[in-house]
Amino acid sequence: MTSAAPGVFGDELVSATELNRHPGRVLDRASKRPVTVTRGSEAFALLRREDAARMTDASTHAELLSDLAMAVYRLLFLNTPPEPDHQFYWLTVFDKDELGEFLTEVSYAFKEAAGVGFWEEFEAVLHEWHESAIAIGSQELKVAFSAEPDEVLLTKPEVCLEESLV
Amino acid sequence: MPSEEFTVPDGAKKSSDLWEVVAYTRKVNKHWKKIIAASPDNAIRCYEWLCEKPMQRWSGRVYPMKGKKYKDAWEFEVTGGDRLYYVPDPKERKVLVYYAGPHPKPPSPTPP
Repeated sequence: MTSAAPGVFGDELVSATELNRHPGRVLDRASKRPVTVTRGSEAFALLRREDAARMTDASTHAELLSDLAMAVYRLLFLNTPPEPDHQFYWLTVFDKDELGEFLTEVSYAFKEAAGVGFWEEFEAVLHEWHESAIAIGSQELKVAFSAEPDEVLLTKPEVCLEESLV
Repeated sequence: MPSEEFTVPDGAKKSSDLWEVVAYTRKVNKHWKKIIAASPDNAIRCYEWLCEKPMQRWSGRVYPMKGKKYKDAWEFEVTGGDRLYYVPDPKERKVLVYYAGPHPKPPSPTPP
């Protein structure tokens, strides 16, 4: 088995012939780090399925962050909002300060997520900003917050449910 | 007869630890009751959260609003479709619920 000097990705090079002859050994290596299998001028990557999934995940989220950063850049520096059908059109409700805050928070969440491979928090941060944008643009909510107060204790659910049984 | 303070069992919340949860208007409370009828378990969990820890974030579910307009307000996603918007007052330990009902619709895009 060839162990060539690590290339850009620091993985091991193995010929297709060697893979054929020693599949178990090659898989043992691939379970620890990616292995490149060469066949003529072709090269194939052999790596754990979960590593491939993690890389795909990171790539998808990086693309999302890139689209997002571009939308914010255009708003902040070119005064050009995204088209109404753009996935980040909702960013237009925020002013420059808020957009700066958004970018900082999302970038930090991305960095944290990329480090551990869990993207839930990054997605949650995006979701919370999106929901906030919907709230800011909502006429219904504006009316609710500016209504004349007429306070009453919020009904305890158990009480309401008991009453409905009577 | 001398009286002594009732001993609170370990783990139980003292009433002084709980927040008062108030609907800003009777209309809010009316809509809240509809949520209770439709999703009782979620409504119970929401109510308990507001009573005990209204300023604790639950990632993607309960969170402070972003931006200046509703700076002190929080959003609670009761179900996939229902929302509560409230403002907690830590000094008074009071939660004021301004809206309970279906998720507000995103506004139609208008030219900037």
